[in-house]
Amino acid sequence: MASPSQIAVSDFSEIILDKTVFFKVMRLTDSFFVWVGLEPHLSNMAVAMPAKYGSVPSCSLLFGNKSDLSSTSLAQKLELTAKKLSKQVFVSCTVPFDQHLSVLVEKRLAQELALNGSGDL
Amino acid sequence: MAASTNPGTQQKSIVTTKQAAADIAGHHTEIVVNNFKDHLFIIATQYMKLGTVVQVTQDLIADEVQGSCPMFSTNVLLGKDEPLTHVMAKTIVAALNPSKDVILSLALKDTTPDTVHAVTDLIKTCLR
Repeated sequence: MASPSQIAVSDFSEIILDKTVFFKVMRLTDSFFVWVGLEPHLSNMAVAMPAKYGSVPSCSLLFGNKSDLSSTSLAQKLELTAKKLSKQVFVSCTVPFDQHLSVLVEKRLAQELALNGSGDL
Repeated sequence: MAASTNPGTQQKSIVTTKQAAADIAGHHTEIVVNNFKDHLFIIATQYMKLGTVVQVTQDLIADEVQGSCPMFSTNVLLGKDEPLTHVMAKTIVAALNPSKDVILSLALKDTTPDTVHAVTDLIKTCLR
């Protein structure tokens, strides 16, 4: 019955601006799931995918506070940076808004996706 | 990398993830259960994609005869919003009887009751 797992899950944490930020990246077929947070909550989820026309990726919030744009903007930015992969990105971001922190979080994620993203999938 | 980013990692994660894989009726099936504090994020897939994402919330209804019986409300967040999706989500979550709300992602090639029950059993192995 048991067969090898085809979904790779990677967990890592990093101290960014004196805060321990936890990351979870799941690699699925043609898509990624990314969770970023300081605490173990799943309070929202957004999805972004490459738009057929135009360079701005399409993005939508699946659930959570609609006025909190952290997940949608992160999804959109990751989609832009990982553009050559042209995959769907699901993002859940529960890091409180901080201009400097979000840039660094985004950088770290883009690095992670670029590092392992183009590999086996 | 910016100077303020410290590559030194301490804890691995605060969210536990359990995975299981099996062959159900000839289809490779993968289960991923992410245990968040406020939600369970369960992926059950035969396409290795998220597919249909359903939010399942629990409402406790106090019943004079049976005591409290759990009722589940389903809300399709992404994908096919058809009756079968709601039925499958409710069947799976009711069998798990979770203590928190569930975000369930389903991408099944085969939606027969036998498969759904096999998938439920496989999810249960990840919740133990």
